[in-house]
Amino acid sequence: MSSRATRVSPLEVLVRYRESVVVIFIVMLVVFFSISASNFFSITDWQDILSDTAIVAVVAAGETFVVITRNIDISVGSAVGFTAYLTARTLASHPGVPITLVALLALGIGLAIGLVNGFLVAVLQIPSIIVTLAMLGIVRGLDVLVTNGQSVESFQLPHSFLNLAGDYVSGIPLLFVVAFAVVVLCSIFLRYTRWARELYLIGSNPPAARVAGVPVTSRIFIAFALSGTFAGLGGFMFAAQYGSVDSTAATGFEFVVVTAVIVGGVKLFGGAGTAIGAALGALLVVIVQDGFILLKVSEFWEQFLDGVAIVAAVTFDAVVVRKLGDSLRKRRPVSGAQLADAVPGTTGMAGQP
Amino acid sequence: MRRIVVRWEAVLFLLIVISTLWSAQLSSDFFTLSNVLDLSSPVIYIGVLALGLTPLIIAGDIDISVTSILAVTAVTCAQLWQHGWSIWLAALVSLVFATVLGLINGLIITVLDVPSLAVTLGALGAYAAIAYVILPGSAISMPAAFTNVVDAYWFNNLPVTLPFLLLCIAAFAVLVHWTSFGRYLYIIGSNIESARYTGLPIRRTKIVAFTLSGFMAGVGGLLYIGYFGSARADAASLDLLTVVTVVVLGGINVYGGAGTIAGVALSFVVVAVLENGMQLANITAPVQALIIGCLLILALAAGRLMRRLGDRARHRTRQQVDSATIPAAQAPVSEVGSGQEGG
Repeated sequence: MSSRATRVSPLEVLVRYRESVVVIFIVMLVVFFSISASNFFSITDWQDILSDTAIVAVVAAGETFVVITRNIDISVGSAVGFTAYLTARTLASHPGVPITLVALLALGIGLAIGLVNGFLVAVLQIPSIIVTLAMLGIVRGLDVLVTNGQSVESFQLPHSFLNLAGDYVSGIPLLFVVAFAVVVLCSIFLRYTRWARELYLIGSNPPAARVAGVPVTSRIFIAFALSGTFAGLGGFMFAAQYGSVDSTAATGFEFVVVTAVIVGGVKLFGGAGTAIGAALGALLVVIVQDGFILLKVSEFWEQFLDGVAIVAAVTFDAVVVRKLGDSLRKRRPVSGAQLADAVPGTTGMAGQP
Repeated sequence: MRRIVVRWEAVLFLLIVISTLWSAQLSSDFFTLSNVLDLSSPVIYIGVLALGLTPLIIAGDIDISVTSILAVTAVTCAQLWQHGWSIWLAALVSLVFATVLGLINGLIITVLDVPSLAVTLGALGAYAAIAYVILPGSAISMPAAFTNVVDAYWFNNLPVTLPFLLLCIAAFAVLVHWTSFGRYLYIIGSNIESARYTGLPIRRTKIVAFTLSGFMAGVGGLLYIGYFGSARADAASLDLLTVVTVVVLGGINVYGGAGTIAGVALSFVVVAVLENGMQLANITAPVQALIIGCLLILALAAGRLMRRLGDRARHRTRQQVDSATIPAAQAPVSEVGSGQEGG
């Protein structure tokens, strides 16, 4: 029995290092698109991909905190659009304002939205799908009221701001470098701090977290605050990248972010996943988006694929982990840790007790 | 639980009064017979979707793809008719299509044992995309033969859709409150472990619930194009919030196991009156969503605060409250590998 216990199946590797599955898919897609689309490997195209990925990855990193706690935040799209517009409007109307101040403004607005979400979910215990669905509508409505039918065009924005998206650090877009730093910081934080470990506990076993004395309410509150703040940063980056912003900016963006997060291995039922996985998921989604544009496939097939990807990823996580749990139990005496890994996602919602 | 339900319906009555007063002061035409009877017409598809969603949510699941299924139904019917099919055959086929989409959701969720939020989130995007693929361009206008039936009026004032809606409400009330299927929904939603141990047909019940939700989304789609007279791929795309508001405001606990059809009917009245008022006030769609969102949150927040004050008054500790309200999905370790459900 001891020799069998040391053999690790490939399936086990795929599950334990879920991010490797994403990397495999990214490589496959890059190969596929390079063959079928002529300009896929060009330098300018890659820089666009990296910039777009940067925006999605930043918001996805924030979303990761929320999803780990067995919640969801679908208000991020509206938050990105709202902060993008306010960022652009501020810079267009007051060109002398230092850009860092405007960035702080964007972060602050995102934080405010996150605080409201956090209060409603953590303190009042309203299910997060409901809260963030309502906030999606509320923030978008506020956006429409504030824009009052106007938009901000890129020529109205100061060059120093637009250059943030146009600058490169040895060939790599600045936005991507920023996003990379954010994701790495989040990953380190999620992996090595006790604070984060308690976050994972909240998502995988809420009653145990309470009994263990974890301050569940404040953790979930902070998770939503982070998600909102990161969405604010994403909005700031969005304005820099696209220049023109109106009230419909970033509509449907939350769907892209959630796809990235789920495909990246962050389990919707909580308790697992990393910021790196979410960022890799972001890269995958943007690559598909770009590839489809180059192949002149209708953008709606891309959305269809996103939807299928969500279902496929969650099914993979549920079915494969369950099978792995079964085979592990047959092989050797099971430890508590392995049981915790192997518990399947049951049919329920990402909510919060 | 019963006390909370009774209290909640009182809140709903209060909301009906408030929204009626608000809408009435916006226009002197509000209290005419024709306007009052016509209140439900523009939002009847929302009521139908909400009814279809209710059994699902009682059972502890969710289906956020219903608005996408509605859109698919609408464009399928329109495209088939435009390609020469009889409008009624096109409507029937689209209805079947919608039901199948709901069935697909149900199968993936129950057979593969995957969380319903994730699957229906993916379905929301995938089905919406299908709607755009079926009808990528501008809207298709529906023939008078169809709209005249859906948008008809009896005795000059009574829209045909109103008795239809009342019939649906009655049917669902019977289904949810007076059949064993309905009883299973409540048990599955409130305590899935005991449902398993008593051998309830969990899988079958859930599949039926999802299929029914798809079917009602299809009905909603047909009502939508019948009333508005045209079909577009983004039909009802902004209305998910309103549908969920009708259900949740109606007292249906999102974690399952509680709520009544009567509550949903009452909250539908609140929303219909509110929508009518907002139309009269010329409020744009995104701002309408803002108001509905605020209504939803304020109502839920008020409900939770009431509950907390009530718990505090009864000296229940947090621990006791939690163990009563924790969704049954958080089963203990014995759940491992036992993915088989009865049915």
